[in-house]
Amino acid sequence: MQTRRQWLMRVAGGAVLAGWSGVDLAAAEFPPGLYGPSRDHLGHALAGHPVEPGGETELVQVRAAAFQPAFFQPNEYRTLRQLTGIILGESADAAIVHEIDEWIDLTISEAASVRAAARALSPLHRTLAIHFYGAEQVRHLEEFDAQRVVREGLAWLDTEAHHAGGFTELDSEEQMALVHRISDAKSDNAGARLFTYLKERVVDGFYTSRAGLDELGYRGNAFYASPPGCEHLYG
Amino acid sequence: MAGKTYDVIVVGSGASGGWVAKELTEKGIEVLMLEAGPPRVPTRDFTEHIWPYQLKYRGFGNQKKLLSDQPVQRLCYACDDYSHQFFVNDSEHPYTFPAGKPFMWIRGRQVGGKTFCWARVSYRYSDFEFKGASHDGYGQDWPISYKDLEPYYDRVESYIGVSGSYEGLEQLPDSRFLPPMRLSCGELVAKEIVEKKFGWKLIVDRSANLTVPLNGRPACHYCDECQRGCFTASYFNSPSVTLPAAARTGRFHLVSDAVVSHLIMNSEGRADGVAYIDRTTRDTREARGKIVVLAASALESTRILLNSRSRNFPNGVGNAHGVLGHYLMDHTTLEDGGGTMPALQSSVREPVGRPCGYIIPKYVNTVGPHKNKNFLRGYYFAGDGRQELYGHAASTPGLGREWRDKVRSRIPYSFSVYAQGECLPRYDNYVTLDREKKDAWGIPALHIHASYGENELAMAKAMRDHLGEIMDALKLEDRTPPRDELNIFGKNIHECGTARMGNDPKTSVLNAYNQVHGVKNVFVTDGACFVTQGCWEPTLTIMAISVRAADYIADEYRKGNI
Repeated sequence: MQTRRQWLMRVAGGAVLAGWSGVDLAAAEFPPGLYGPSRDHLGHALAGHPVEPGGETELVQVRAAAFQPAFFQPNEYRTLRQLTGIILGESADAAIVHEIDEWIDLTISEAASVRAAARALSPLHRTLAIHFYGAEQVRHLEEFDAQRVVREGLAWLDTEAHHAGGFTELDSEEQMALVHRISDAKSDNAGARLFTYLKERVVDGFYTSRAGLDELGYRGNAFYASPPGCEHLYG
Repeated sequence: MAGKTYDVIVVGSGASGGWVAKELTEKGIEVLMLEAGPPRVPTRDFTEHIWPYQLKYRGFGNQKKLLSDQPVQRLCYACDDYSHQFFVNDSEHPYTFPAGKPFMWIRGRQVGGKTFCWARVSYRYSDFEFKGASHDGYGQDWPISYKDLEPYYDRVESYIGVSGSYEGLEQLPDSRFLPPMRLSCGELVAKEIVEKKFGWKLIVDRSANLTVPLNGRPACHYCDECQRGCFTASYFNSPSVTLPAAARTGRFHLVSDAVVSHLIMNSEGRADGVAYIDRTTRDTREARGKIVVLAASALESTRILLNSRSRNFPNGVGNAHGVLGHYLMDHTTLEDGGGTMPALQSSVREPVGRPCGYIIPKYVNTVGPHKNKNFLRGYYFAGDGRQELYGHAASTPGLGREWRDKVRSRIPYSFSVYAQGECLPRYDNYVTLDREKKDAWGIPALHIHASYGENELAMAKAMRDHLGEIMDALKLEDRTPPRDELNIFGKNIHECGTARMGNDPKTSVLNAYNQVHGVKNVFVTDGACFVTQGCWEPTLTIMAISVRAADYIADEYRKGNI
C-alpha cells in the first residue's frame, strides 16, 4: 500500500516539494481576511493539510486512551467488528475495521439526537426540507431509528446463534452462512434490516478511507498541471 | 475612523463590493468597506485538501449541528462537512415566507461574501437579455445595452481570468477567454450525438478558474474542491483578487463584523453615512461618507434600503413609488436528469478534478429556427459526464474481497443533464420587512414572497420534453428522470432584482448608473439592480456593472456632481 505522500507525488507528476511553512500567504500587508496566493501549497497538502485551531472544522481527534464505544455494548461491538470484517473480507482485528467501526459507533450514538433535531425543525424549515428532498426522505430522517435497527438486528443474530451462545461464538463458516442468509435483501427480518443498514455504513466508511480510495484508484483531490479530461477516447 | 468622513462607504465585500473598492481606490478615492461577517483565515478555515478520513464525520457532516444551526444553509450542496463555515447561522439570520411559497435564501457573511463558494460559472449577457422587452414585448428593457457593458466585461475578465472556448454565439457572447478546460469521455460522446441530432453545440463550461497563470496567481491545480477555499487563489474570489488590489493603494479601510442596519439620511435627502452594529459586541456605531454604495447582495441591499425609514423616506430610501423590493427573480431549474453510459463502463480510473461541467447553450426563442410559442424566453442545459466513485458499491451484491473487486473493476459511467431557465420579472414576486421577526442584531427580517408563474411552468414542460429527448438520443440506462417540479425559488442562489435599474423613476429604483433615483449619493451595484436575468448565471454581469458604476462615481465625484 502506498503512502499518501507517494500517492500525491505520483499524481503531482514529480513536482518539487517545498517545506510547508504555513505563513507564506503574503497576508501580512493586508487587513485580516485578505490573502495572496500560496507558493507552498503542495507542501502544505502533503504535510496532511494542518489546520490552525479556532476554526469550525471538526477533525478526527487523536485519542490518548483505548477506544470505548459510545453506543455499543462490548459484546455488540465484537459482533459489529466481525460483521464489518465479513463485508470487507478483512480480519475483525484489522486496523481498517477499527477505523470504520469507530465512526459507525459515532454515527449510531448520535442518531437519536439527529432525529430529534430533524423533528424540531420549525414549520418553515420543514416546508423547505420537504420541497428540497421530498416528503419521503424528510419522514425517513424523522422516523428511521438506526439504534433500534442495530440493536434488534444484533439480537436477531444472537438468537439465531443461540445454540453456540451467540454470534461471536460461531465459527467463521457458520458466521458466514448466517450472514449470507441476510445479505443482499434476501429476506425481510431484523437481521436483514441490520445488514442493509450496516453495508451502507461500511461502504461509506471504507471508501472514504485512504485504503478504500487507493483501492478505487481515485484520482481526484490531486495536483494536475493541465485540466483533466478524456484521456483515451479521442486523445 | 471615529469622526472621519470617507469619500465612499462600500457595504459588502463580495463580487460587487470588491470591484467597486478596487476601481475607486485605484482612482485615488478613499474607501471604507463595511462587511457584516468576520475575516476568514486560509490556514484555519480552508479545507481544500483535507481527506474525508481526517474529518470526525468523514465528510458526511455533523447532521445534528447542521439541522439545528443551518437548517436552510445545509440545503446548499456546498454547505457540508468541509465548508459549512462559509455559510451563515440561520437562527441569527431569520427570514419568513408564506407557507405555500417556499424560498431558500443561501447567505455567506464574511470578508469575501459568497465568492468563496460560488460555482464560478461566468457568462456575458447579450441584448437578448438587456433588450428582452424590445424583442418579445414583455416587461422592460434595461437602460443599458450590450455595447455599454462590453468594455467592462473585457476589463473584469482580463483581471479575474475566465476560461472557455470561443464559439461566436450571438445569444452567449464570447468572453476574453483563457484556454478552455477539456470535456470528459462521456461528454465527447454526447457532443457528437447532440450536435448531429439537434444541431446544438455542447461545450465545456466557462469558468472563473485560471487555466494559465494570471496577474501573479498560479494556474488551477484541479483539485476540484473550490468551495472549500483556494490557497493558490486560482479561481476568482474577492479576498485574494480584488480586495488586495484595493488594499495596495493605501486608500482602503476595511471594518469586518459590521452589520449595517440602515442609511443615515440628512434633511436634504442625502445620505450622511450608515448605521451599523458590531456583530460580536452588539454596540451600535455610525460611519460617515460622502457617497454610500450598497453591495451587500441583492436581498440584503434592498433590506437596508427598506429599513432606512424616516420622515422624508417613510417607506425606505428609493421607494417613493413602491417599486423597491419588487421584481425578484431566481433561475428555474429542472434537475436530476441522467443515467449511465454502458459503453463507457470501465475498470480503469479516469482522472477527476475539472472544476466545471459542460453546457448546451440556449437555442430556444433566440437566434435560429428553434421557437416555442408556449412561453417567452428560454433555457440552457448543463451537467457533466464522469465515472462513479463508489455510488454503485452498496447495490453491488456480494461480500468480501470478491465484492470489492467488482466495485473496483466495474465502474459505471454517469451522465447528468439539467435545464436552467429564465424567470420573468413580476411585480408579484417581492420582499418586504417582516412586521415582527428581527435578526440577532434587532434588524427587521425580510418577508419573501415569491413563486413561479405560468411562463415558468410552461417552460418547465418544454424543458422536461427536451431533457427526455436528449436522454433518449444518448441511450442512457439506469435513468433518473428529471424532477417533476421546478427547484425551490432561491435554490440557484442567483437571486436578482428588487431594486431594478430603469430610466423611469416611477417603475424603477436605480438609474442607468446604479444611482438611486432622487438620492444622488446612494448607489446599489449588486444583483438587486437587474431588470431581467436571462437564463445565465449573473455574477460576471454583476462585476461588469459594478466597475461601470464605479467609473461613473469616480467621474462625478471629481466633477463635484455628487
